[in-house]
Amino acid sequence: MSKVFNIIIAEPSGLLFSGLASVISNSGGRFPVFRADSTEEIQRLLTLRTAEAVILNPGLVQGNPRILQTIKAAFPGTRLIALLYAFYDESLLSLFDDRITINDPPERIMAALKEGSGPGGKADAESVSAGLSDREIDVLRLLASGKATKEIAEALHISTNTVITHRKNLSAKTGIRSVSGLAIYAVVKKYITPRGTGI
Amino acid sequence: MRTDNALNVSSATRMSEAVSENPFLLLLLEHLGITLPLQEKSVSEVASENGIDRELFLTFVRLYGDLNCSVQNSFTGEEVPAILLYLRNSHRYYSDEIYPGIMEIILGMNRAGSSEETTMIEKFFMEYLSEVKNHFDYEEQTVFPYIMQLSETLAGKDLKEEIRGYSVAEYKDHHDDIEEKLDDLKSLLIEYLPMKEVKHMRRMLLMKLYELEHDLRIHSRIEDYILIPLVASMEARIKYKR
Repeated sequence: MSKVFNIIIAEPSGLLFSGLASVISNSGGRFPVFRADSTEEIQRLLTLRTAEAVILNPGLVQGNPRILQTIKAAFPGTRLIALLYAFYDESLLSLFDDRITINDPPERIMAALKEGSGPGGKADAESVSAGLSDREIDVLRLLASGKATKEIAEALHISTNTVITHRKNLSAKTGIRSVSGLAIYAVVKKYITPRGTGI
Repeated sequence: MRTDNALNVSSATRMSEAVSENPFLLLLLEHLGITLPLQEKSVSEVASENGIDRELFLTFVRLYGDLNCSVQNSFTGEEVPAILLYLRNSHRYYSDEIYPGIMEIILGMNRAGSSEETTMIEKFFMEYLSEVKNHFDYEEQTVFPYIMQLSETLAGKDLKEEIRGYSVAEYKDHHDDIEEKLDDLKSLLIEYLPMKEVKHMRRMLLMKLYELEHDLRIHSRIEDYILIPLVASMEARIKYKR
């Protein structure tokens, strides 16, 4: 399962709040939802726990759009998403990182939440069940033999970031995330002999 | 494993009816130290007789029926002992019952025809067990006592010096994902491992893993959705008091 991804929703309508919270919790990930009724409450919740995204009815900040900049400056890791079902000026909406409307399908809503650093982000989106590339197999062999990211980078003359990308793609393609799980996969697929594994 | 819970459980629902509808509730009762028979008692009667906050108990019952049900965060802190009792007892259930059961099947596979694959599965599972043990130890020795202290402090006792440096934010960071390896094991068994000679054992192992996963998911929900937010609010209240 993916990492916990906290979400704060500031929406005065209880009906819309519950609907949105249920779309989020039905998405299958671990997304605890917290409700706020004002920008002060949002700030209070953000200081208590990190939240990856705040979904906000722009009506709450219409009178004081600068509060959005204050929140952004204090909590740069948190995405601010406008929840739209009425018309708002573009100058206000441009202060948000993304926007969703009440007519959006669940996939669009989840994509808005996860864009950037969230769990199941880009690596998952590229997930394909096709075979592994030669380079990925090289990385898999070294990984399965117990080598660390830095050692793999040196052995293959690539950067550690590239190793990390290959590693992510390996997990996306095989559905296996742990190193020891990948090592078993490598043995089953005969990329490596059991004696060659680090496990 | 998702249980379709046709019954919309309320506090007036007969507990025995809820259990017939969703037998996983037997585990909930066990984790909370509630014993059968249930007689004609309602959900809220079972809760009060066992000294458990009714709202909390109903939330747990609903989580067992639908992992995605919404959780109210209106708990005050008095629910802490019951939540910790639940978590401790479920740790015990995994360690004393489920994990040995899984190990038994893996060892049986080895006896039936030890191959490279089953030996690797055994090692893999041992590794998982030691991670899980560390996780449970950390929770039971560091996190839970800290939470009890917070709860006692709110009830009027002095905050002990040794817990002042700790905060639940640390717990969140330390909240390792012990489910990752479990998912991997399932993927390996379903997608990749040949293991032709022990077909039925593979099925038995998978069923056990699903059983474990079902309870672990509820366990994590209770930690993430109920315990952590509750502790954060208790910390904030104590800070405010000082």
